[in-house]
Amino acid sequence: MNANPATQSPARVDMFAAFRGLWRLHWQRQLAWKRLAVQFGLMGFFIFLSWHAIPSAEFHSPKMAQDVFFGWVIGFYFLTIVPLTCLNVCGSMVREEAAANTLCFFTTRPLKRSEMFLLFYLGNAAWLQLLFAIFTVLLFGIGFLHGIPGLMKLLPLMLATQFLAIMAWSALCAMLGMAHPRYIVVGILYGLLVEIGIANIPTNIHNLALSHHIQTLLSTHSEVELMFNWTPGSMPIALLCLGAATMIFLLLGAALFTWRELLPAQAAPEN
Amino acid sequence: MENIVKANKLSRWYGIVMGLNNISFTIPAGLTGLVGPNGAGKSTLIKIITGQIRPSSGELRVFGERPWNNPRLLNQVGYCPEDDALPDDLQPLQWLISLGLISGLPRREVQPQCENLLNRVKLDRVHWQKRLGEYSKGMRQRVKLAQALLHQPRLLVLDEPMNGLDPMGRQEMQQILKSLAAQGTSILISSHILPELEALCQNVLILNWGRVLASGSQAELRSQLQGGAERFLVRCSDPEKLARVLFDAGLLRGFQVDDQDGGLRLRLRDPEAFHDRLPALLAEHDLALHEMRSEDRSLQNIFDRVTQP
Repeated sequence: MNANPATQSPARVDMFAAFRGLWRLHWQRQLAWKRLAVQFGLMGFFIFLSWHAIPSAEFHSPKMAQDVFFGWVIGFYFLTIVPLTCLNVCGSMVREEAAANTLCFFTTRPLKRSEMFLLFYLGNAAWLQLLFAIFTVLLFGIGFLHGIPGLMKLLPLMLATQFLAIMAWSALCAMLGMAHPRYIVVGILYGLLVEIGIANIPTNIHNLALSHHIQTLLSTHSEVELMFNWTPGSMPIALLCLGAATMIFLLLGAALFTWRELLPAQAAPEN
Repeated sequence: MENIVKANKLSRWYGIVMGLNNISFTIPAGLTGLVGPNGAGKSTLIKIITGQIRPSSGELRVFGERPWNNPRLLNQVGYCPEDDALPDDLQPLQWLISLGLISGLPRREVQPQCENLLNRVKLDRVHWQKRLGEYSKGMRQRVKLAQALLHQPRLLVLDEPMNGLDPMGRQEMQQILKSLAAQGTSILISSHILPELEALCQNVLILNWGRVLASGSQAELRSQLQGGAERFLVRCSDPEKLARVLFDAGLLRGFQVDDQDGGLRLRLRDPEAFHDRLPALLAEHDLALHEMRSEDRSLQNIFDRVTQP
C-alpha cells in the first residue's frame, strides 16, 4: 500500500475545466422545472408590468415615452432590480450550500477555498449575465414595439454597462454574503448609504459608489444624461474603478471564505 | 504499517461545547473503524481530517500534511458525508460529471469514469435516468460513495455509510469497501453498527466525550483487555471442583457449568487477582486446565468495556 505522499504528485486542477463543472451543475440546477417555473413566472410578470408601464409613442409624445422608458428600464430595472437580484443570488451562493449541507461536496475537492469561492462567483455571475441579457433585450423589444426613439444606440451601451455592473455587484454581494449571515439587510443598508447617499454627493467622494461609475458609463448616451441629470465623469476612470472594485471585493470574499469554516448551523441565512 | 493520520494534542471547540478534547492518536493504512456513541466527536474528527474545519488547538496531519485549504492533500482524500443532502433535481451522472470536472478529471475521461464508478458501487444502469430525488436511501448512499471515489483517493473517509441500508445493501457496501481496500485504498469508517465494523475493519479508534478511549487493531485491543476481562470460559479436568475452589477463594461473582460441552463459564470478581492466584490454586488442588478464553471478545464488548464509567 502506498502511503507516502512524496511518491504521488497530484495533478493541479485546471480552473477552466473546474469552472465548466461548476457551470454545468449550476445550469442544470437552474433548469430544474420548479426553479425554471418560478423564474419564468417572475420574468413573465415583469415583462407584463413593463408592457403596461411603458407608454406607446403612437399615443403619447415620443420624448415623454422615452423618458418613461428610461425611468423604468434604467432607474427601476437596471439600478434597483438587478443589484437586488445580485444580492439575493450571490449573497447566498456559499451560505445556501452550507445550510443545505452540500458545501462539503465542494470544499473536499482538490481546490483551494479561494479558488472554489471564485468558481462559485463566476458560475453565479455568468448565470445572472445570461438572465439579465435576455431580460434587457426583451425590455428593449417592448420599447421598439412601443416606438420609443433612440433605442438602437442605447442597447449596446446598456448591455456593456450591465455586464460590468453585474460583475461588480455580484462580487460585492458575494463578499457581503461571506461577511455576515444577514447579508440582505447589510446589502440594503450599504446600497442606501453608499450607492444612493454617497453617490449623490457632488464631490470626489462619490467615486466610492459603484453606481456613480455606472452612471458615468450610461451618461455617454446624451439623452440618458439629460433625462437623469447625472454628474458626468471620466469614462476610463469609471472602467478602472469598476474593475478594481470587482477585484477588491473578490479578494475580500475569497479571504473570508478561506478563513471561515461555515458550518451548516452558522450558515443558515437569517434574513 | 505506515500511519496515514496522526493527531497530536488535538482539540476542537464549538463555542463552549467541546468536540474533541486534547487527543493524540495515529491511524495506520488499511481499514479503520471509528466507533463511538452520538456526540463522541466522530463527525468532528472526520471534518478535520477532510479539511472542512480546523482544529482549535493541537495538530492533525494526513499523509504528513495539514488538511485545511490544502488541495494537494484533498486530491488524495475522498469524503462521503453522513448527511443525505443531494441535489434532488439532478440525475446521478449529471452530478458526478460536474463534480468530476471540478475535481480535475480530464474532460474526455470524465463520463466513462463516472459510469465506471456507478457500476463499481453497483448502481444498476436502469436507475441512471432517474433523478436523485427519486432514489432510495441505499441508492443515494451508493451515489455519495461514487462521488467520493471520483479522484481516486488514497484515503476514503466515510461517515456512517451503512445508515439506512437494508441487510443486502449493507453486505454489498461491505463488499465494495473490501474490494477498494484490497486495491490499496485506506478507508476510515465511522459507524455505530459495531458488528459490521468488526467484520470489516482491522483497526478501531474508540471515541467518547471527545476523548480517545482506545485505539489499535482489534486483536491488540482484545489482548490489552484480556487481563481485565470479566467473563471466561474454562475447560478443565473437574469443572465443578474448580468452581468451588475459586468461589471459596473469593474470586468469583458467579459461575455456570455447561452440561453439554463441559465448559465452566466464570464471572470474575477481580480479574487481576484471578490471574495471579489461578496457577497456584490449580497446582494445589491437582486440577488440569485444558482451555481458558475470554468471552469478552466482540467489538461490542470492547466498546462496552472502554466506555463504561
